[in-house]
Amino acid sequence: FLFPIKMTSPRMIKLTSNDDKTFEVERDVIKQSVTVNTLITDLNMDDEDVSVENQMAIPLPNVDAATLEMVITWCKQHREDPPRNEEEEEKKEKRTDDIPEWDKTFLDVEQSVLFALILAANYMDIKGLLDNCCKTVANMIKGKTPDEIRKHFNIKNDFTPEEEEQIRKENAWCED
Amino acid sequence: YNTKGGMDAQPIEVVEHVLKYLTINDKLNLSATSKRYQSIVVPRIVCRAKSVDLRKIGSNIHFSVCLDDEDSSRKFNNFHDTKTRRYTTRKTENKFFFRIDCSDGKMEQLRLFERAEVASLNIQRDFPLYFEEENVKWMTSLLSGCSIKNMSLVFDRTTLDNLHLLPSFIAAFRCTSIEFLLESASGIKMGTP
Repeated sequence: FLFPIKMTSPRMIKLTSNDDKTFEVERDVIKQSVTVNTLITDLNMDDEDVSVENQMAIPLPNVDAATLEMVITWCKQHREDPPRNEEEEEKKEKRTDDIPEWDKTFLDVEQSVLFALILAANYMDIKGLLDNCCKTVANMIKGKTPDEIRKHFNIKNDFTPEEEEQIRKENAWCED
Repeated sequence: YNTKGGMDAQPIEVVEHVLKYLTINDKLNLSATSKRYQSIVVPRIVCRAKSVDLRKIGSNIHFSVCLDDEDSSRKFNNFHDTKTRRYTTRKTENKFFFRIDCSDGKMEQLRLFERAEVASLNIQRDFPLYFEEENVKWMTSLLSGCSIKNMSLVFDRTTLDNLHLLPSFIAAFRCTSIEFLLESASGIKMGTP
């Protein structure tokens, strides 16, 4: 007996960046973005009768193509991650030494790229990516003096010398 | 929505997210970099206290504060140094003890915290600070800026008449649970009011 085998290709979703580049990404991969996932559900885009060619692309007006490509790469890498329990995550000890090795390498990029990724992760509501990006930034801040932090992140010091002296006095106790 | 730029382009919720992973020293160092970070970071450093215990012994009010963690202790230590230092009688790693002399009949208005989450406020039954108008005013001032989860208040026959002061007192601290301690049950008509 020969049974016809229905080959099902993974369902694809189209995303468009703010510089008009369109990406096709597997539904299972992009479900990590709460923003995109909600849109897909609310717009009933899971309808299997609509081919990807005829499907509306989801516009992401706050994400450029280069960043979106990185976001998709990250989502592909983490597609098998267990679903997050936000309540449990909140209770967890806040550590920054538990960033997975793959993510450490992936996030070892120029600051402008890292911050663009953070904005994208925040906008697309991808909690795992946002966590690891923010941990990376926290690691850059840890152990630095205010002046070193300013230099590292190019922050302009807008305090007057008097205000700076006052802050130094107020914070002196924390150097005990 | 700025998709480019560095740290300064990050919205407040992202900076808040980063703050979760910093110690109090690192938070304060970040807050000292510019006015933007000062305005974001400083109000988000919350002092957490396990308990505030109050007693009135003779003409002195004794109170102690037990802090939750090192961050809270340091934050509290900084605030109280400038406001309540002269009333400190003793301090251990996470606990601070105070005494105020009220022998002249005046209760000096003090403030213990800038902003804090207190798990429990306990008026001690052995030497209670009764729920009287003057005391309520003083406690409201002492604990202004706090949210208090549980309160334990002591009443005697006369102070039961002051229950009308309770709703505003509870509301001031967003209290969710209260325990009433009666100094003596005799002579008190249960179920009233």
